[in-house]
Amino acid sequence: MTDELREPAAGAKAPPALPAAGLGRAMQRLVPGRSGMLGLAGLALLLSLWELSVHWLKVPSYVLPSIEDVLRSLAHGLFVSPADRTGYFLPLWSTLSNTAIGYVIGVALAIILGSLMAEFRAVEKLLMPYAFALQSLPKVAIAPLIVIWCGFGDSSKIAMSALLTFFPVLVNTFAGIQATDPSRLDLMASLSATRLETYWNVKLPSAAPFIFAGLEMGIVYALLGTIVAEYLGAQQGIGVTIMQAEAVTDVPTVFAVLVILGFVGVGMHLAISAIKRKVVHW
Amino acid sequence: MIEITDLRRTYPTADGGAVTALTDTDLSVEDGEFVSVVGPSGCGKSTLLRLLAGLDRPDGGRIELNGKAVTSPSRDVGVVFQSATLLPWLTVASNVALPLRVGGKASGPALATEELLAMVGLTGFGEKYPRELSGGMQQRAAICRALIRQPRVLLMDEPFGALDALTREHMNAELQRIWLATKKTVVLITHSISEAVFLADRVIVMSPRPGRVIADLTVPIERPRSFEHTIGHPAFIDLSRRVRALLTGGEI
Repeated sequence: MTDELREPAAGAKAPPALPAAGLGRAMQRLVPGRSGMLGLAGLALLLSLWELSVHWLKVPSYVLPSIEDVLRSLAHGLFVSPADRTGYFLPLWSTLSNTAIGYVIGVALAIILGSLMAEFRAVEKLLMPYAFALQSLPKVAIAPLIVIWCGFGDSSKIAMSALLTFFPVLVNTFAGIQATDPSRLDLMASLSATRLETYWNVKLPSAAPFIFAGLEMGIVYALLGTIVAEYLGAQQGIGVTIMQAEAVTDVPTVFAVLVILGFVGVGMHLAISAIKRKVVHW
Repeated sequence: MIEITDLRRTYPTADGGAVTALTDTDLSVEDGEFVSVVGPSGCGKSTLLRLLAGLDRPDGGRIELNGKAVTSPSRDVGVVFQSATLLPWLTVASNVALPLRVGGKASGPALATEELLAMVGLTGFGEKYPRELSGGMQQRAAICRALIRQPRVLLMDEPFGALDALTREHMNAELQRIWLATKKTVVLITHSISEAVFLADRVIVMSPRPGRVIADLTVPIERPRSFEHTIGHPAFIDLSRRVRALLTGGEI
């Protein structure tokens, strides 16, 4: 059972092979200037097809709104006072702050527990079966339970964000520490270093590239978790904005919010990547 | 001094059997002596070094360092491994000073990082990261790290095995210079006959598995030795030939 859980993380040895890292590269390709004109040309083609299908194929606006309508919704939500209740800033702030709080909690718990599991065989034996069972369970399916436990306020969103962040970071921390180069452990042993000294000076830094691969996956999941919790009945948040627009068949607003979420997702991923380059500088 | 008597180490194999890495090994090394241990791959010479360093426990026999049995790593021993094993996230100076930050309080005074780096010709490289150094420079920094706690014994496990021939010769000359300057007791594990003879006061030759000492040869060449003079020295040629014969199973 333990080996099966190790397996997905074993791929983390080569971070580019990870789904999340691949996603990251794909996202970066969408940012103009990074891989240049080809990406922009693709975007232009996509937008043209969209516009053509709306105007010529007469796709109804509740299926596919015109670009113009989406842009109008975007402008309506963005060019208002940040305090305007009909704008996007208040719900976006709510969603992002809950995502961030949950992310930090999930990451902290995952690194602590992942480290304990890697350091102490007993902790691994105790927790690994549960970690594996929860890992296999679609965590979105737990969301209704979380809402029952934590209510319709921020806490259930934070809990979902933390829950979805937790697993990729846990598994990568565990695998990263276990993959520490044995010659580095010999070195620390020859210096009579204590277990804690070896952990801080060698094991944790050695695991850093693995942990960051988990952090990059985790941030995408954190946003997903928050929005799922918002769908299940919250008072505020960008998920609520989508649900409200959907209720009145305001499809342009749904599209506009999805565009914003796309940019937010790319932005968060790039931010984690930037921190990774700063921390894992070797 | 180091006193090894009747040392034995066996490892369990995957199929439930056991491999004897080291058997009936006796060896004594005087203070300040430079001893090379040479042998074919898999003769247990790295096992011997791990046992000396206290990184592994013997199945039989005894290792004493200055009259005390070696059961765990000691502050009196510095180890240089096959790969430099510098931590890539630390600067060269931080890597060299790592032994001062772990393993409890120092019993004696430590050397200054700057002076050590200067001694091995790495002045000005302290703030660089290991990846910015060549293989030879990395191994020199690793030697500094092994020396910083002022151990009396320096154990080296094929430290120059990964270097090209010319760099290796240069490092041998450097190591001799460092040894003459510090007068440590050195045990150098190597599979290079010329390296073993060039550097050592005594060359210990080991047999293939199960490893044990089959010859203990004194190198009667005055120091400091230079490569140019030593490789043509009759004693060097004679000893090299004898070691080669022992390793290839021929007669002396």
